Amino acid sequence: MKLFIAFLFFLSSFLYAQDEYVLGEGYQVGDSPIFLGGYFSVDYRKKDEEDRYRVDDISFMSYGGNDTLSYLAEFEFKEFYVETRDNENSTIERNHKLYIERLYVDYNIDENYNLRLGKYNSPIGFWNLMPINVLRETSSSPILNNIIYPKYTTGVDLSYSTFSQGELKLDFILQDNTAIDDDDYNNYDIDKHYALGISYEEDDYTFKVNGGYFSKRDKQIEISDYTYALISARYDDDRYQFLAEAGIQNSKEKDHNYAGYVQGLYRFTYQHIAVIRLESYKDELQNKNDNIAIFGYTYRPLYPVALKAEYQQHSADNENQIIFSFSVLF
Amino acid sequence: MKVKVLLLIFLSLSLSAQEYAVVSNITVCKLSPKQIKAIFLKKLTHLDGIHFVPVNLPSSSKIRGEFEKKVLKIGKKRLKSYWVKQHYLGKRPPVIMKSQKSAIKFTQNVLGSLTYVKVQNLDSRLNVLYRWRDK
Repeated sequence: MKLFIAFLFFLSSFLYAQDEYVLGEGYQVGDSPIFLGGYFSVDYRKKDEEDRYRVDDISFMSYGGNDTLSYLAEFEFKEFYVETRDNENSTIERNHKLYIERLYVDYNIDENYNLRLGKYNSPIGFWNLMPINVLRETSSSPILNNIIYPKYTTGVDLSYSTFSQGELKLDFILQDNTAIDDDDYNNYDIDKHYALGISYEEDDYTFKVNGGYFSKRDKQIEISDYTYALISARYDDDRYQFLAEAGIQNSKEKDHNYAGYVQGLYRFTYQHIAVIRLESYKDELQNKNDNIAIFGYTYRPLYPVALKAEYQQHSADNENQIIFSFSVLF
Repeated sequence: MKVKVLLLIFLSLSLSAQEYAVVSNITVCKLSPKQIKAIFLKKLTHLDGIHFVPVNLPSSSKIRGEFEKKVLKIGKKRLKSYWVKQHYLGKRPPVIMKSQKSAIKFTQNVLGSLTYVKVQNLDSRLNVLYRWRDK
């Protein structure tokens, strides 16, 4: 039913879309302050003994509003079609559930304060703010983005920002309720998340520090309470980008998890981009640790269209892989 | 003689240099290039209770090219990638007026709006917030 309503909404809206459409900038619905867009990605992964073909993200979004009040809604199919083949078997999995990826309202209180209410990407680190294939320069995200903090928060984000030579921004993240649509979607199924983030951006440099506490919804499990901290730094100019992040997660019952990476990126042009990333992590929950070297190349015939190839060399057994992906933001 | 020739060359170059200005109908004090950049990237949306409305010319405009090169200091492709990312975050690029004349008219009439013009097109009803030359 949710799928049908969303589909009808988008179909009817596109009928009223303005003529001048630019790929990657969304449709404006008539002269209204409402915009429509979305993205999709498909990928192929080759491991030593396994091939995987996947239609991963198919997403539709709408946003709009005025100076004071605005909204954003995003609905997504995740792992819509996954076909896996190994030496003995071939399996196909289909997930046609339409998830609510983001759904929030922003209230711009004054020139410094903004209040966000709803489900949003936790504003932590760099990757979680742009967590879609087409906006990254590698098909994969660093492991850090999956094992240190909850990717989504359903609650309040009060942000304070001020601008002088650069932009200083503080985020106060609060969740004390069950999440919207998170039971099998968020990396942690949480009912509490309290966190603070500080970021400073000036010219080509950005620095961030995040820290917080979250609690899993299922209190019967062995571990339900966690704290985490993350530091991030970025340099980005027309030719080069350097990223580095390190995070740690603690719980009373287990040793800490940690994850970190450094990444260098070179733009031959804005169409051709080479990337190297070195990662290391230890995940106590899954009893895993690994060191990874990633070599990637991205071709963007237009910025909102990305064709990527990536090779991952792992210290863990049977994890070396090649990934090809194609993704579009519309 | 050599000095005279050099002086003439310098003078003719100075005369051919085009001067531009960022203008608005608001009476805020002068803005720094960093503040103007932040306004046109929609990172700085308010100041002293005024909501900014940046106004662009079409991407093919030479004046816009000069503005992006000298004030924003961002290449066209990098700017494009910036606004594609902002689209994902639910933010829009500045409004576009088809001509300098319409941009000036819009800026005269909408409180908090800013645009960029050649100085010979300056209007007494607009306040100059920043000036620069293309050479």
